Amino acid sequence: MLFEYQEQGTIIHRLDPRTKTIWLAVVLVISILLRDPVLLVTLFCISLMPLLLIRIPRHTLIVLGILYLMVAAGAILSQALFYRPSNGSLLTFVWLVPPDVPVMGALTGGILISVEGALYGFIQVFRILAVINTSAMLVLSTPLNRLIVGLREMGMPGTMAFMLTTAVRFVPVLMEEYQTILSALRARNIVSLWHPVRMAEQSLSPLIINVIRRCNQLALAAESRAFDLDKPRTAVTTLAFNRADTGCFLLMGVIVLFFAIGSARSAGFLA
Amino acid sequence: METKEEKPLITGLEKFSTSDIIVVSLFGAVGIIVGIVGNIFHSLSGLSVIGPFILHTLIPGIVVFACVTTVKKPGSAILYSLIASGIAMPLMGVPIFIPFYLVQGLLIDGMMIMLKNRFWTWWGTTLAGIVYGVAGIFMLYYFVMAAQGIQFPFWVFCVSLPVNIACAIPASLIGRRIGTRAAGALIK
Amino acid sequence: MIELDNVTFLYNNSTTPVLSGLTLSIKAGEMVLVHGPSGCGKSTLCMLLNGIIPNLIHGELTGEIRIGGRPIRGKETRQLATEVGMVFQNPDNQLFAITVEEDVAFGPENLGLSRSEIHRRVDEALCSTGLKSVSSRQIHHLSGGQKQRTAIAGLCAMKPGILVLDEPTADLDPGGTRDVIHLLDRLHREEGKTIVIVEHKIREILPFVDRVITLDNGRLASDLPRETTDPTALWPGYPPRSSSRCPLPGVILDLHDIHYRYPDGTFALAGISLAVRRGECIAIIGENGSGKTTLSRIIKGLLEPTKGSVTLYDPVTGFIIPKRSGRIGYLFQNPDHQIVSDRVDREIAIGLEGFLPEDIKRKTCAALTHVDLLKYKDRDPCSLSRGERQRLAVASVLVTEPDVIICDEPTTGQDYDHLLALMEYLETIRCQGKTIMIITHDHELAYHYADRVITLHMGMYIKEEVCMQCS
Repeated sequence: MLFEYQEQGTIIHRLDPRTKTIWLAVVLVISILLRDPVLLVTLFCISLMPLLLIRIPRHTLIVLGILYLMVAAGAILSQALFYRPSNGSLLTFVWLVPPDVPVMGALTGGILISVEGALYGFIQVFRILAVINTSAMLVLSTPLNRLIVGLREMGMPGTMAFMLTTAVRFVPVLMEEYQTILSALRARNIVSLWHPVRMAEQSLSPLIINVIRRCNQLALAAESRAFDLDKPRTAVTTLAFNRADTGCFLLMGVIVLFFAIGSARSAGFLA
Repeated sequence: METKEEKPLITGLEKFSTSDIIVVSLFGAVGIIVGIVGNIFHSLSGLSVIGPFILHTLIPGIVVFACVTTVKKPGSAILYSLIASGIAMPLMGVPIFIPFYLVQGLLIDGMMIMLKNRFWTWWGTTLAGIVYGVAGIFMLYYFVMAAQGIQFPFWVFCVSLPVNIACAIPASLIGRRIGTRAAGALIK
Repeated sequence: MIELDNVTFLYNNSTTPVLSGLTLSIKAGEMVLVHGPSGCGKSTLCMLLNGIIPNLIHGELTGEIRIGGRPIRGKETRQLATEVGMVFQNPDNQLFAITVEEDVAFGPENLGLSRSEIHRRVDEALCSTGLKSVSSRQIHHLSGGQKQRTAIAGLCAMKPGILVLDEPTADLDPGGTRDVIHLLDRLHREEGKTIVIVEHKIREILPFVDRVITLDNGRLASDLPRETTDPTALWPGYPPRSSSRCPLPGVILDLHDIHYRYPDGTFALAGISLAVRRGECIAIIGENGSGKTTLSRIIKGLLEPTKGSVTLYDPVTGFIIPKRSGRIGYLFQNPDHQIVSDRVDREIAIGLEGFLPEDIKRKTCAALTHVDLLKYKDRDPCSLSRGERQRLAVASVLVTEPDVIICDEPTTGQDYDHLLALMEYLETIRCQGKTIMIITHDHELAYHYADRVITLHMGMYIKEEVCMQCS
C-alpha cells in the first residue's frame, strides 16, 4: 500500500473522518475546475499544509517523493509530446531525440517536443499533486474502519458499510495468500513474465477459488452470528464533530470562496 | 446459501443473499489488491506501452468478470466496483479514478440486464468485455486525464482502443472461466 | 440442555445418511468431546445444533433436536444465535470487523441491541476472554490463538448458553491451542457454559472435558465419562513405520552458515549449518517465528540468504547442481495454494514444459496413477476432496522428479486420516532414495517420522537429535 494509517495524536488525526472526506471532495472538485496556473499552485500549497501537520514516517516520505517525480515526469513528458493549444497559437519545438541518435533516432525519425507543452504539463502537475496530498492526508491520519463509519454517517447504507468493512478486513489476509500463491508458482517454476495473460490466470484462479471456500464458511459464520439483511443493525460506533471540525468547515468555506473569486477574476468576470 | 426473505440492495432487480453479499465483498478485497498492485506497477511502468493495459484492464477485468459470473446478479458489478475503487484509489492517492471503475461496473450490469441469460454465453461475455474495454479507455482519456488537465490527441485514443479491447476480451473470458469454477465451489 | 432423539440426516445428492438414528442428551454445564474418524458425522452434528443444517446446508432431516427443552425445527440459524454459539475451524473465516472490539460487537449489533447494552456486553466478553488489552488491535495483527479467542468472545457477547466448537485448534500452533483450551475450560467452570467440542488434539483437551462421545459411521459408538476413557483408545498415535530409517551415504544438501534478515532489518536466521544425506528424513521444529519456514524457502531458492550458501549435489555424480530450485520440490501447507489449473491432468502437465507431448502424457499418467487420481484426470481439481487435492499437489511436485522434497506444516488444517496418508506416501518416496524435509511444530510427528530432528528457536540452531533407530 502506498499510504497506510499511522497512529499519532496530531490535530489532523483528531479531526472527524467526515471533515477530512469532505475536504478531499472539495479539493478534488476545485482541482478539476481551476484553470489559472497561479491558483493551481496555491491549491497545491494549501493541500500540503494538513499533510505537513502529520509526522509522516520516512518511508512514506520516500514513497511520496517517488510519486511526485513519476507524476511530474509523466505529465510533463506527455504534454510536451501531445499538447496542442486550443487557440491554435504557434509552439516552439525542440528535439527530445534528434534523428541522428543511434537506434531511437533512426527508428523514430527523431522525436520533437514543445516547450509550451512541457510548461503546460508542469502546471498540471500541481493539480494532480493537490489531490494526492489530500488523499494521503486522509489515509495517513484516518484508520479505514473510522473512514467507513464516517461514510455511513454521511448516508451510506449499512449493508454497504458491512461490505466495505469485510473487504478491508480481508485485504491483508488475501494479500498474504496471494504472495504464498506467487511463491508456489515460483516454486514450481511456472512463472513467466513473457506470458502475462497465462500468469494472470494461474495466479488469480487459486486465489479466487480459495476466496469462494472462505465465503462458504463466512456466510455460515455470519448467519451463526445473527446477521440478517432484512433487519436494521445497531451501529455501535458513532462520530461527533468537535470545535476543530467546525473551524475546518469555516476554513473550507473561505478557501472555496477564495478560489471562486480567484477563478472569476482570472476568467475576466470580475474586474 | 439463501436467506428466506432476501432484500433488494441497489438495483431492485435481483435479491442478494448473505452469501452474495460476502462473495462480492471478498471479490472487492481481491479488487482492492489488484488495484493497489496495478497502480504501483503502473507507476513503475508508466512510460511503457503495454503495462497499463495489463494492469488496469486485464487483471482487474478478470476479477470483475469472475465476480459477476459467480454471483450472476445485476448489481454485483457496480457493488464490486464501489468496494474495489472506493478503497484502493484513495489509498493510492488517485480518487479521481473511482468514476473510471464505477462506469465500467455500471456498463457490465447494464449488459447483464440487456443480454439476460445470453450474457453467460461466450459471445455475450466477449461483448461485455468489449464494452468494458471501450469504457475503460474512454474514461481514462476523456474523464480521468481530461479532469487532470492532461491532453491527448484523438489518434492516441484510437491506437489505445484496440490494444485495450485486446486485453479486455481475454480478461472477460478468463474471468468467466474462473467464475464458472468458483460458482461450482460455492454452497448454494 | 441438548437432546437429540433418533436423528437421521442425509445430505442432498448423497445416498448414505451421515447421521443415522442418533440419540443423545447433554446436560446444562457439561463439557463434551465429540470424537470419531473422518466422515463419521461430527461436523454434521455441530451444524445441526445451531440450525446451519438444514437451513443453510440442505438435506433430509428426521428425528427431533431440542435445545433447552424446545424443539429447534423451523427456527433459523440467526434465531438460534442467542442460544447456541458456533466456532469454526479457521479463525480468519469467522471474523468480519477490522478491530477486536468491533468484531465482538458484530453479533450484538445484528441483534439490534441498544448501544449501551452492546458496550456493556463487549466489555464483559473481552474481560472474560482475556482480550481487553488487545481490544483496539487490528484482527490481522493477532496470532491464530488470539483470533480464535476473539471469535469466542464474539459469541459470548451474544450470551448463548451453549458453545459448539468444530475443531477450533486445528489451524493453531501449540501455544494458541493451549490458550483456547484454557479459555474454554474457564468458560465452562466459571460461567457454566455447556460446551460441545470436536477436537483431534485428544491429549490436550481430554483433561478438561466431562464426557467423551464417540461417533462411528453416523451412529453413537460410545458415550463415556472422562474418567473411564482411555486416551490411547482415542489417539493411538502414528502407526509403526514399515521401512528402515537408515539414509544412504553421501551428502546431498549442504547449508553453510545461513543468515537471513527481513527487509525491515529484523533477523530471521543466524548461522544455520546443516548437512543432509540422500534418503534422509529431517524434521525442522520450532514455535511460530523460529525461522523454520524462512529456512525452507531459502533451501528451495525462493529467498536468497543475506549470508551463507546452500549447495545441492547430484545424487549420482556428486557434482554441484548450479540451479537447485528445479531439483527441490516444495509442498505448501495448503494444497490449494499450488493448484492452478482447471483440470487434474493439466495440473500435472504444467510442470513438464519443455518435454515432448508423448512424454508429458506418459509422465502425467504415471504420476496420477501413483496417487490414485487417474480416474479423475478430466475433473476440475476444485471438485476433489481436500485429501485428493493434497495428493494432486504431491503428484504435481513429484512429476518433476526432485531429489529433495520439503513439506511445510503438513499437520495444519489436516485431519488425522489425510495426514497419515500423506506421511505414509512421503515415507514410500523416501525409501526410493528421495530426501524429505518436514517443517512442523508437531513434535510427535517429527520424532516419529524423521531420522534427525533439528530444533530452531528465534532463528538460531538450538539442538539436533538423531532418532533411535538410526543412531
